Amino acid sequence: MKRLRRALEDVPLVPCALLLALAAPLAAAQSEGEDFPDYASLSLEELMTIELEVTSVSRRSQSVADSAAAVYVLTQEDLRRSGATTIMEALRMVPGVNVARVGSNLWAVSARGHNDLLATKLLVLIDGRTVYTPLFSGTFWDVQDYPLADIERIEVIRGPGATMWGANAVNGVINIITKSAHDTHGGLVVGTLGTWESSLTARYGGVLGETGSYRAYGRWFGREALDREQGFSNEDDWNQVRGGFRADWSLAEGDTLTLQGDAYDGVSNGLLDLASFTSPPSAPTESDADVRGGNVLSRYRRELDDGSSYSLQAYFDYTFRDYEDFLRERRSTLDLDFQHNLPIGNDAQLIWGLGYRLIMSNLGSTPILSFAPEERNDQLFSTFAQAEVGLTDEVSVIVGSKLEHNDYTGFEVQPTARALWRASEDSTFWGAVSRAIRTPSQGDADVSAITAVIPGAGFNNLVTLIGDDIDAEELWAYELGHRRVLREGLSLDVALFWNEYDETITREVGAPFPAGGDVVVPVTLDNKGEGTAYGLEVATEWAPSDAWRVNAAYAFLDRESVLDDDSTDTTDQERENLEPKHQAHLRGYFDLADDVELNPALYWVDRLRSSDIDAFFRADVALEWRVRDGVVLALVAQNLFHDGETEFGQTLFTAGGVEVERAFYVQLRLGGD
Amino acid sequence: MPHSSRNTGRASTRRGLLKTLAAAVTLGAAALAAPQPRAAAERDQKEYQLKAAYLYNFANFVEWPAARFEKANSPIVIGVVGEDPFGPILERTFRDKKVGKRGFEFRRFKSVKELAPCHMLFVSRSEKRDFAAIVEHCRPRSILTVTDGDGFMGRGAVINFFIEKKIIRFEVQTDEAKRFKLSVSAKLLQLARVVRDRTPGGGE
Repeated sequence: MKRLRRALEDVPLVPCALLLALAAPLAAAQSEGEDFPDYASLSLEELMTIELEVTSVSRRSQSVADSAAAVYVLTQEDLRRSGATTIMEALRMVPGVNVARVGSNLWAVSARGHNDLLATKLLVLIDGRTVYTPLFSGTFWDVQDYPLADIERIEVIRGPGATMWGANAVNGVINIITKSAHDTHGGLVVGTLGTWESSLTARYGGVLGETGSYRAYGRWFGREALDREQGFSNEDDWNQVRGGFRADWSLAEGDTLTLQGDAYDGVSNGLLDLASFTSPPSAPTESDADVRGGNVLSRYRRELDDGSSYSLQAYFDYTFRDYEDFLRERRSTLDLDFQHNLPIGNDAQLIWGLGYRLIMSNLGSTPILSFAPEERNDQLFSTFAQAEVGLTDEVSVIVGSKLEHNDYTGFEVQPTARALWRASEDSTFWGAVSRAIRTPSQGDADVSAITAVIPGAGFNNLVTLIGDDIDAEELWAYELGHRRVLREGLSLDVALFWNEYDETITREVGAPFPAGGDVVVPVTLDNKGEGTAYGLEVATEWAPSDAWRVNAAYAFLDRESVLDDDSTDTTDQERENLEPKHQAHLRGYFDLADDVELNPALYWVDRLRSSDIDAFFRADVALEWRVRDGVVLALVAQNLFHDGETEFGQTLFTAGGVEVERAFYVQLRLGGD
Repeated sequence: MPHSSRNTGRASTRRGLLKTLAAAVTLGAAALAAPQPRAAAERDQKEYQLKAAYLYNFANFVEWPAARFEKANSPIVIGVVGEDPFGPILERTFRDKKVGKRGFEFRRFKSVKELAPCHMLFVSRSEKRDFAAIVEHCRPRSILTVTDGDGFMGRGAVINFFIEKKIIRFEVQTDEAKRFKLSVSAKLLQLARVVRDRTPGGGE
């Protein structure tokens, strides 16, 4: 203090300070006054050469518009016009994604092959929350539901997305994004009455304080059982109630806070084909599941003056599923995620992040399905960094990697390198090389499941699937893509891929051994497979006028698996043909009048060679009439041509042969947009 | 000030102390009040001088449905909703400017509730929450929504500003423009980042 005083005494302070205080506003006044630049007489091209001294906070959001990956987006309009009533059925619209109904409440969904009821190479997220279960690294689709009118978009990435998203993003990522609460003010009631399903959804939203918005919804649906081709019912009717909320705040410049949560409760009934002592080897067994769950998530995003931004997300998720006499799963997940996005110099951008996940599970054991241990806590630590560098105005390169540590296989590295070339205004090319892994699931490590009972002389052979300490499955993926606007209203999107899989899971048949009067035929999991897959996906959109739009898509996929010489797997040869070689669809959006829309869609799916599932056509038609503002009536026919085709074959616990029926429904929507 | 000048004749220690105090306060005030906001204001000023010039260009390259104007020389009305970052810049930028026979008029609206007819509406960053209601007002009236940064594109913004490498750029949502019954010239689209319904990340 003394030193400061002394220093200050040396200058003529008062006049000096006065001058300073006066000078600032004067200088400001002057800059406002004399030289007001005449920017308005400059052309746009000239305006676009003028640099601001400081990067403003209105920095462009990290956009994947010119994305170096095979991305397809389902918009809210697609969801509405398709007449789909579930997220899974809507995914049929995505080129290169295979959706097959296995039962009334069972779906097999995958991208680029390896489809199965227990499909394990697809990462599914709802608003940044991972919804696949570590039980088998797949998704219980029956509990992935949301009021479709409040979903903003579904982004589907075919191919590995592991660097950004993490393990399991091997063959693809499905990212379901719900609307901001700012966009759902007001009430909405949607009632559906149909031959297969009925549902009622109500939502209300409004403002919250000075800067926030909220919405809350409630929903119920009930869906009928389907029949099996043998002529009896699959007894798989199901119903669910669900409620949730979302609140969004736009805080100071650019900062946002989101808080959301959902909870559901329902039953998913059905027959599973489980090993049977009374009717060997297996028999359709009533396996009704109670399903319950809930989650809360918060996300804070902040933008800083230097153009960087960060986000912090935390969620807690609880799921419960109880099949009497088969499986009971109770699972809690806590996930923390930090992401930092910062510009480096003028032409580069770095994104890096840290993640932590704690998964607490508690599995029940039954005579045919047990886990050891039944309770376990698993932790996942991850970090990633990705840099996007603009080499020239036309070419940019992305390199990055994810490093994670899981409790099953330890450290895993998942790098990617991508390049994008904007050849012209209307044409871009991209290419990518990436590595992705699929970490073993809890089931892979801990399961013991009797899958068949084969009677012998005075004893039973119990074919038993036994988990083991296996390695992660690996993928090296090579991709090329091209997007082009051919002419006004006609666009084309092509992707080619070559996938090399290694360390794929095999089921090794071991030497039988006696156990309690019976003989166990052990089938142990191992990593004795490798394989290749290659394919092509083409999507076009043609809009000859504002009132007519046509989407067409085609996907080709071929796959080959090879077993190590010492492998005793007998099932793997079949597994390469679990998905169709060819798929195509044609969808039209026709505005017949200002208030009437006709939306037909035709899907064709090639036969599944592994399981004698015939190729089939599927036709859906949705007719929508806007009676007046806020009142919409829709008539929808699904599976119009064909009644009772089977879309998928046998899986580990289902015999297949469930027939998908023709369905009709009428829907009334009150309120909303 | 007169008080402290009267004290200048007293003992040097006391005088020094007071002087120091006064100086520190004044310097502090000057430091806090003047230079920082000035830097920010200057930055914003240049940014919004440029953005005002962009608005003028947009008016040149966007066509409204004929019914939106009474006469061939009716002015193009530009509105600003929410906290106004332009101040007097808009009027100064557009002084004596015309598009064909049309001059310009300006309106300021505090919030969505005050919205009245205009042709182009600049939506301030303060209006993110009420943006859905703003779009609902603008879409049937073919009012070109020009928004200022993140959080608007994909929610009904036709044109949105963003800053890339210190340069002000803009994106145009062409599907939205169609729904607004606005015709955007190819010249504008050439310089824009074009966003469509199906553009990934076109939303927030």
